[in-house]
Amino acid sequence: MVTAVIYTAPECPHSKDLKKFLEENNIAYEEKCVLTSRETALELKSKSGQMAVPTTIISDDIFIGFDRRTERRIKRHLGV
Amino acid sequence: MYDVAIIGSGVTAYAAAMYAARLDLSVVAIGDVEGGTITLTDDVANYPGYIQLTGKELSEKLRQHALDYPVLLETGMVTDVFRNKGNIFYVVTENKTFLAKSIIIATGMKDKELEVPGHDKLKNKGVSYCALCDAPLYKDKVVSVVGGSDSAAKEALLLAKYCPKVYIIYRREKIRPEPINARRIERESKIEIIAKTNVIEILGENKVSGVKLDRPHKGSEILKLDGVFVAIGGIPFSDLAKKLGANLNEKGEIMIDRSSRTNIDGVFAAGDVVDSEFKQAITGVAEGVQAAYQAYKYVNENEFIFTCSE
Repeated sequence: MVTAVIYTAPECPHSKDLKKFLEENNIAYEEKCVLTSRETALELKSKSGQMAVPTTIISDDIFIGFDRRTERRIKRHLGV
Repeated sequence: MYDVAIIGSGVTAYAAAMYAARLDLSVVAIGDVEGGTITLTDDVANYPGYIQLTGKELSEKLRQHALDYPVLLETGMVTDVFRNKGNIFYVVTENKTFLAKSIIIATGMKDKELEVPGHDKLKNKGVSYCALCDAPLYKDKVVSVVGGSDSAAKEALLLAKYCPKVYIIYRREKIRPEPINARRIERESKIEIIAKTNVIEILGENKVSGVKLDRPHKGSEILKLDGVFVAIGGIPFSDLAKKLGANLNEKGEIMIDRSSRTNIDGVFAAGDVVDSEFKQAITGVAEGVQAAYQAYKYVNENEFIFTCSE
């Protein structure tokens, strides 16, 4: 079952780090590449208020960007 | 994806953001120092429309003007920028990436450091680069300003409000402030200019006690001081532009044409980081607006391919 929906871009280093983190922690995710279409980018904007990648959505919570701090917040949120 | 990503957070960036948004472009502006360099100036009296205000007040006015439009002002440092094969720029910060069709570089410059013995040891222990920040700490102390530009003159005038004696040490024969500040310096009895002289060492153990000069002043090469304020110009933040292939001049400034275009399609530049001779808030703002207009034209005249393959 999908736990997180993530918005990414292919050459974004932080998107790669996020996916690695999710996989290492066995967190299931659905990936949406913002370069699929304009609609995908606009969908991201409507959800998070900006078009930054990566963005992680877990239930109603939104995590913009990815670094150690985001990692801790996601872990805390999911209790992993 | 944004139509334009502006790298910078000073008045030039704010003006470019405001104008780009007026042209219906989607805009993100990313910078790590809100308001930029002008926030370190307490007296701005040459920005048309405002007789006198502080640098912070001016930058805040431009910031608010930009925010009157739907622009995203992002606090962060851009660590990398590159273009993918679909003609789309990746603007990477410490923790996120913005995609954009065009780029405006308004990264400004940083202070050039005084490269003499003692500088590194005594930086922030009597060696300062910001009179506005530090002048009150030197109340009733003797200080010097190193440099001969208008900025150096303004630093000295500000310090003279606190200090009984302010030396301006300058390597050339005559300092070169704007005439209005030259007159203020002449009228200020606390300021003394030591011309044709270089500081060759900053003296002191745990705090500044003086400087060594390359020629005697009143019979001594040692000048006793409590503080040394350095204002010897700036080094442009042009590394990102260089990475994108933009042409730089011998000072490292980004070379632009009259419309703020660099030699790279889709990359525009403005403000202190470019090769304009006269660098002022108003000239940077004007270059920023030119850049916004050129970005608008570029975005509307070019193709951008959405592809999720690397």
